[in-house]
Formats: sequence, C-alpha cells, structure tokens
Amino acid sequence: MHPNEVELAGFLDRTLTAREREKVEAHISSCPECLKAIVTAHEAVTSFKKGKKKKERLDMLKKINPYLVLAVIFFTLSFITPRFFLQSLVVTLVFGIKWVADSKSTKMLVMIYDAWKRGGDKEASRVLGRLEKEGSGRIKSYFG
Amino acid sequence: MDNTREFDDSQLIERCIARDHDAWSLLIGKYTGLIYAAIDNRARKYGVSLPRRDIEDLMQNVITSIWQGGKLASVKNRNNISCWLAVVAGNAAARYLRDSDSREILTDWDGPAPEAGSASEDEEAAIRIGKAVDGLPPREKIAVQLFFFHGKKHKEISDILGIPANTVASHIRRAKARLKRKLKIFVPQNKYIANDTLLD
Repeated sequence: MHPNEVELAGFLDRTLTAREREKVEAHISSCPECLKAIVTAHEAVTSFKKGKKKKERLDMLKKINPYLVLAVIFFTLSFITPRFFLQSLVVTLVFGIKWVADSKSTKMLVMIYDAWKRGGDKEASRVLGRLEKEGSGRIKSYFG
Repeated sequence: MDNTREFDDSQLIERCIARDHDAWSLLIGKYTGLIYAAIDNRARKYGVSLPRRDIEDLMQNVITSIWQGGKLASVKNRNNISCWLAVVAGNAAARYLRDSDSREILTDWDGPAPEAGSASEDEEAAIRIGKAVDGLPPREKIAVQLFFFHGKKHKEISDILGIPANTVASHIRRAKARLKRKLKIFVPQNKYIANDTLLD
C-alpha cells in the first residue's frame, strides 16, 4: 500500500519516527511512482526556498539607502587615493548629508517642525499624533 | 486583519482549521509559487510540459480541495507545510495526467521493463541493471536509483534521504561494486543512466 501524502511529506521533512521512516523507505525503494513523488516534491521545495532567499536578499538591498553606500565608498576612497583625499571627503560629506536628509526620521522631524511653524504647539501635536498612529515608535524616543 | 505582521505557518494553520478565510488567503499566498513548481515539476517528470493555464487550473483545484476537504487538520509538521503542499500538488498533477485521455504520458525509465525479449541492447542492459538494483537494501537502492536514474548529485541525495553525503558516496560505491560483480558486463553509456556514469 502506498504511503499517504502526510507520510511522504514526513519522509522529506524528517518528521517521521525511525520505524515509520523505515517503512516508507522500504516502499519507495521499489515503487517508482512514490519515488517520483518524493523527488519532484523535493525539487519544488528546494527551488521555492532558493527563490525565497533571493527575494529576501533583494528586499534587504532595497532597504539600504544608496547615499549611505556612496558615502562609505568615497570615504574609503579618500584613504586609498591620498591625492584626492580632500575631494573624496567633500563628496562623502555631500552624500552623507543627502542620506540624512533622505531618511524617514528626518522627514518626520521636518513635518513636525513645519507644523509647529504654521500652527504652533497645537498643530505640531496634531501631526505628532497622526504620525504616532501610523506606527512610528521612533517619534516617542525623540520627544520622551 | 493585520496583514503587515508575519504569521508563522502553525498560527495560520490553526486559524485555517477554525475556518478563517483570511488566514487561508495569507497561507496560500505564501506558497503559490511552490504549488505551481510542484505541479510543473511532476508533469515534466512524465515528459509533459503543461501550459500555464492548465497549471493554474490544477492549482485552483488543489487549493479548493485542501480547504473544502479540511486536509490541513491531518498535517503533522505545522511549522512548515512546504513539503506536504509540494507532495499534494505533485500528486494532483499525476492524477490529472493519468486521467487525461488526450495526453501521451512518456514515463522516465526508472525500473526494469516488463518484457526483455524484444528490447534493444541498451534497454536490455538497463533492464539487467534494474534487476540487479532490486537486490540492494532499500536505502542503498533508493540512493542508486536517485543517482543513476534521476540524475541527482550526492548532496541532493543526502538531502532527500537525510543521511550524510559521505554515506551516500559509499552507498553508491558499494552498489557499483555489487552491480559489477552481479552483471559482469561493461555497461555502455546510455540515456537510461542519467549521469552517464560507467560502472568501472
């Protein structure tokens, strides 16, 4: 009798007991269909996991701010190429300022400052409340 | 429902068993690619390249049958259902191909052919190898079949069987020696031995 789907899956993800595993092994060693099921399922899971890891790496890369990367590169270059030390440092500073200005935290602070300028404490509190609702826990750490 | 929070499989499965449709959508959303790949892979093992539309129809059937049949309750490993889903989807593809009259299913040769009399020389050799493989212990036999007939590398066989790659290598080496003793022939390279490996 063929192992059921739970048993075949258990064989692949190693959740069967030793006895159950022996039983499934004995069967699939002489059942081409069940062996095919195991092989194709394993291939699908392996390629799915590879695709998932690739997506996670791409997502992580997307989170890295390019201005930060450029600032680090030019900072390193300033030591590697002493002839262009000052120039590389200036470029590093420019990208560094751009990175800070581009960050979400800075944008929020600018929004709150802008609101305070327009409408005083009341307006600033309203904007702060809205940002807190949107889930920005960092705001609290700035203002206590 | 909060879609931004990452639920693990066991939490989603518990909610699906309690008939939470949103949890089911989330769970299936995670594994759509896997179900597609499992169906496609299984069909290709039979030499059939299913069109995208057919695969998507099969996917829908698999998803519906799991939900309506309450099959999730039978899943043992609720921390990761990828293996179970891949097996279920692959079996659905196999059933579809078996039941479908309009397709010629070309099976990969992975066992001895029933009639040896009218077979070509290559096929005869493959049949004899198949019969010789039959005498091996189960785990060795699986390793040999995966290596010779499914073209798997040692690392892949080690992953499937859950044994170290060194053990796989020694199983294959032992099996080759045994086959060589039993067959006492030079096995020509042929399409039935996926890795084109000689039993030298």
